Amino acid sequence: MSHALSLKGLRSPDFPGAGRKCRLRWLHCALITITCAGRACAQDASSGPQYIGVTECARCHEKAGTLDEQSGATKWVRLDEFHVWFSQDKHAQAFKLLESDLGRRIGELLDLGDVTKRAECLSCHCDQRPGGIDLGDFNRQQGVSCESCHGPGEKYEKLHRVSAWRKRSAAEKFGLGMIDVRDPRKRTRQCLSCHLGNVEQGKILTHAMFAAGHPPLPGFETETFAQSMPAHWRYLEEKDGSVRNDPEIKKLLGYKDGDLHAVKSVVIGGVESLRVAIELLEAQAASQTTKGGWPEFAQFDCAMCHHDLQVPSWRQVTSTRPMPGLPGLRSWPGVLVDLAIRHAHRGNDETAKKLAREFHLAWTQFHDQFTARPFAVKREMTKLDEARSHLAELIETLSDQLEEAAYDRNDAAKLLRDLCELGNRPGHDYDSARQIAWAFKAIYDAASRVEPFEQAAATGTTLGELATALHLELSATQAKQILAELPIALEAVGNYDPTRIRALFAELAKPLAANRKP
Amino acid sequence: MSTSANQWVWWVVLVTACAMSELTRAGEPPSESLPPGSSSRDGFRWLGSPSCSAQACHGDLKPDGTFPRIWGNEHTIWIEGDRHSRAYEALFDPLSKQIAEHLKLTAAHEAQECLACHAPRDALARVDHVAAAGPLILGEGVGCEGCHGAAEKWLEPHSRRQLSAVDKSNLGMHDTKDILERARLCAGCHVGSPAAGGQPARDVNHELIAAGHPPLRYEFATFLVKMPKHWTEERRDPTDASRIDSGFEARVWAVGQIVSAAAALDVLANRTGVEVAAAAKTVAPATAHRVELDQPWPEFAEYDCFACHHDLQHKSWRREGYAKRGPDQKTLGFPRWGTWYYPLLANLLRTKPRAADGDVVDPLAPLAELRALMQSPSADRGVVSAKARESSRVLGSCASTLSRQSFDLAEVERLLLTVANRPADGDTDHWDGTAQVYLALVALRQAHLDLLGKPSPDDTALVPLLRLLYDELQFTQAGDMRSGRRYDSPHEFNPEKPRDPLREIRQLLKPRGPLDHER
Repeated sequence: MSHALSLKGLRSPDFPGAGRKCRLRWLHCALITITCAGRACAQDASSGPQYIGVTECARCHEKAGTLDEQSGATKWVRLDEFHVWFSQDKHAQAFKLLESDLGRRIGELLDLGDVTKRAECLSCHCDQRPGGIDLGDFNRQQGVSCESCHGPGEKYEKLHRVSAWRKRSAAEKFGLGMIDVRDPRKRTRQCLSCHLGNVEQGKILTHAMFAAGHPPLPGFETETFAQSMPAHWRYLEEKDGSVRNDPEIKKLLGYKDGDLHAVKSVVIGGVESLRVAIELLEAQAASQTTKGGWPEFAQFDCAMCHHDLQVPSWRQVTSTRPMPGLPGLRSWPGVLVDLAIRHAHRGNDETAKKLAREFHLAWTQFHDQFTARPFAVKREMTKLDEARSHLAELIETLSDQLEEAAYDRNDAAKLLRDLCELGNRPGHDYDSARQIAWAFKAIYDAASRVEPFEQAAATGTTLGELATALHLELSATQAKQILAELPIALEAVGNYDPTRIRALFAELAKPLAANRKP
Repeated sequence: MSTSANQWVWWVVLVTACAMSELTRAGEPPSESLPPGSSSRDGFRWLGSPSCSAQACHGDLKPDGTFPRIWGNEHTIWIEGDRHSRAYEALFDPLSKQIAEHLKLTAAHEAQECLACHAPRDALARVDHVAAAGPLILGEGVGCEGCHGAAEKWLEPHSRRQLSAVDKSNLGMHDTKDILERARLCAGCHVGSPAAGGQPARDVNHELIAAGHPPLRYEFATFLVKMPKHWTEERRDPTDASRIDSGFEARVWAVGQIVSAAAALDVLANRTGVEVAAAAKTVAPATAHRVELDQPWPEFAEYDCFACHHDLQHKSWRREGYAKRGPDQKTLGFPRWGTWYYPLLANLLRTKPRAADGDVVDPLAPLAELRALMQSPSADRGVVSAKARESSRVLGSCASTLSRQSFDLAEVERLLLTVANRPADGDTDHWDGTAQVYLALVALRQAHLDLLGKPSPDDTALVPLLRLLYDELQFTQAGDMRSGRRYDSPHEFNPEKPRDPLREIRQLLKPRGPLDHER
């Protein structure tokens, strides 16, 4: 049911095995019989390119040798990617978390038995896909490794060793299983498949898992999260001049002079996250209502229920839901859409305003399908489908417009002003405010590297206050363990004071206004 | 008058009254079908508290001492110190305005669902709204007749003679001296009641709470103590009216527990929407659950507030507590049902009434079945509704028995010990259950003192332990206070902490436990 629905309106998810061909095959299946999502998923994992394991990658990507320097390969790639990932990146420890005390405890409480053997845990904690070929203990123990993000290597592993590979288009590479993580849309999808969820890939966090002790999923701003990783990559502007200035390469990678990749990533990622969230909701609602498991509380905003009570409370003042007393959907995945609309229609305020209103209406209609009384009933799929396809169309158009837009230093300055205005609006929850603050910081840092802003010290102070209040610091390095960070992160959620955050965004706007050229 | 003559007069009165009651009762709906707290006779007019507040009647400035049973300043006490007299006024508060706004009501003071408790009056009074007495009755909030019943028929007779229970019943005066009836009356608003007898449902559901209404954490004995009294508590022993009931406080607590639980179950039945829908003939009860009813479901107010409403914590006692729970409580990630009204019923209902065939029935069996149903977000409304009503009926009959049962020293000591021991199923590892334990211990301790008739040797030790328990239950703890935070939920609560004071309480009680008594 879920795959039949996702054919309409939404762009097909960009992961191997879910390409057009596969989709048609699914449609065929759906016509013959309404198969469950799980079966489609199993078919997908066994029919697409297969995972080959990290040792294959490590052969070349552990350390650059003299030969690599001589051949000019290192002008392109660092060739120490595996080493950086293995020795510094937390993703490498993802499987070990399953073996930890907490992992064991979760398994006990959920009656799952050994979580290191359970498909629902392995799907995110390593490269083992439900229904995919058995990777073996060693490969599973490597956690989230190369192929988790770059795609299963079976078909491209040999091909991508030669320099001609670089001249192939992203679409061509994708056909062979490689995912274009340079593309902000695809990167966001790829990260969010675990960091938010993906029903087709069996990456589903349930409320029972959270209740058993799985740490909550924080909001996810792709650029900020990517920057918090120990970088095992170089952006084009960081590569050797011979590569950086090659017009063919630039064209192939869609690189425009003056564009700041971080700025582009924030804006596009901020729209893509909503698309992922909608797909997830829809897929889960569709599969769960049939099984009677809806509402799945994990699909709703955690803090909307999970907060200590205080009277008076900002929650009771800012509620915008149809009726009080029901949980609402997460709002962070879509909080930056307004920013993107303004950016895509820069110079045309009227159109931007109209579109923003239209989007808001479409989102509300979609949202209300999940939060209207009586709540725990089978959603009306037709109504939901209508609301969703309208929303999906708006997102699709916007997303395409954003591909064409410019992301230079001036655009960054404008975006920063927009973000201050957005952050100063009433009604944001903690995760949304955090999303806006992350976006601000990522764009501000990128733009400052090109040309520093005036009154940078004042901005720095305010950003520091925001960073503390919203716990903006992230680290995907092995030095910072999630369980050590969690108490601090959760305390920040409990202490969230929207009035103060709004004031800080108002404060951020002041030096930016001074920067504005007459 | 000699004693025998006196008895003779009473017999005549009693027999006549019984006959009268049989006559008037014929053809009338059974009073059980009416919600507690509403007028017991439809059509009797509300006269408003000005009918009561004459200085010569109940509006004196201080007790006048003319009659032993009547203080003379009841109305004055009510209007000066009793918050019931501010119930309507509260609907004009900024908070009420906010609630109305969130619930999309025009105004709280005009909404029937608010007025049902904040200015209770019967259907006729509502029609009379424009008449002179109407606005006055509204304005008095929960006035005299809010508890004592519409005065049309009894106002005049009650000023001339003492009305018997039967008289009162016939004339529409609620017998507030009777603890069972009183408990039912109070529960009508303080727990809630389904729509009936021209009254809209009285229901503080989750929507209303989320909009800003304080949750109802009602415990009869506690609320009764807190209420500024305008009467002398007679404490008549129900088994022998000539004797003083020293176990009165325990009786009040016990009756309050059961009556509140039964009322809560009726509210639950109403919340399913099935009965209302069936009454409106929109659906047949059997198929109701398959129809999308507009009532919220699951109704979150049925569940432990603080199961969800707590800041997320990395290491949580909730998770560890879960592992120790019984199988019927094992729903990870779904809040526990019925944590406020039902945790101590198992301690209370020791004696099990016998069924017609002589089998011992467990009065809590339907409740256990209901609990299993309610531990799912998609519980079948139709089944829940029927089971809730069944459970309420069984508890209702227990309440009648309990209200007449003897609460002697042995029984009170048994209760103290078993409550301090917490229920065997371990289902008090939440704030609600611990709070109920505390409130029960306070009421039972008073009964214990009354029964002993002198300060208990261990009472001096018990008081600070109760104080410790009380402190653990505070929403805002000292640490929060220091950091300038005020909570309306038990932010720092941990069910492990009250275990120590409770253990010490048990040790204090043990030497004079039931076993020692029997010896």
